Amino acid sequence: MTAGLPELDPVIHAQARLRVTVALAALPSGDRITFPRLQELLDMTAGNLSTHLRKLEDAGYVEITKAHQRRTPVTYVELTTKGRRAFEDYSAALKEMLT
Amino acid sequence: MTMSSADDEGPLSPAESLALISDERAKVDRSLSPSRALLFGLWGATWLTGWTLMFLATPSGPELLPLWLAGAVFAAAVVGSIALSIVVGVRASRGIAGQSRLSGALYGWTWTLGFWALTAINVGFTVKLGVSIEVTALLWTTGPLLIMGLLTMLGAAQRRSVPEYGAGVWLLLAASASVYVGVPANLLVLGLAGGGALLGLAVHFAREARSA
Repeated sequence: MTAGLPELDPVIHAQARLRVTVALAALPSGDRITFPRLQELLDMTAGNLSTHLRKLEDAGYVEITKAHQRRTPVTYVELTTKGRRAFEDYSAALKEMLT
Repeated sequence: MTMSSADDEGPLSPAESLALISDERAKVDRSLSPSRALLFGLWGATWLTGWTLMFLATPSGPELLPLWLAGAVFAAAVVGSIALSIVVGVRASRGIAGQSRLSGALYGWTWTLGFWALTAINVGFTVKLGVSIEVTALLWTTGPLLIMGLLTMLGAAQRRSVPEYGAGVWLLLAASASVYVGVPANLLVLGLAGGGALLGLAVHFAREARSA
């Protein structure tokens, strides 16, 4: 992922994925969120959110872990360091374009 | 940004993207952290009515209502406020795991342990040293305000919130002043200055939330 001069990261630069990334970036680094809570925050359908998360995961921006809580499987989502950096670069590129 | 447009994959202009980032961020922050306007409003109201009722009931004061009634109303309001604060906190943090969970739990326990220690100390003074009713009254009223002031300042330092810090300082001043004005006027200082500061903060945070 070599970003040259302001060029927008295509993984993040899509409305739905940008919203997902913003929500995950709002969590302090080291925190993760369950899939249903993220879905509720974003008001997206499960299928839609899964699709976008897969794309973010393929880019290495998001880490998805499965855990068990009292025998119920729970899916956690968190932004990776790479994802957090990509989002910062993306925001910086936007600001640069507007100046 | 309307919810139904979430599926649209139309290209966004840089300005639209930036606006989306700040809108979404504000929205997410609001649902991830408990409403401070609500919490400060709740505690401010409890504090203001509770201490004012206690003042109106003190035997050496106006004696407008029985002391047991004022005490019962105050205790019920405190228990209700604690329960509501827990519900609000738990609701905001549901589905979140990781490091901030521990820091939130430690912060919450700081309040609880602080008040337990204060209770133990005050009971000790009253029972062991047999201090006068006046000293007992001052101990029970100024201690909570001191703890609240310090913890408010600590939270403010962490969130870099200057107005919140100012309210904490004000609470410390009120805690100190309440001892000097003596019984029963100290109850009025606690109710008006203490409760007033919390309500002022609630208004501040409500305005901040609306403008975000």
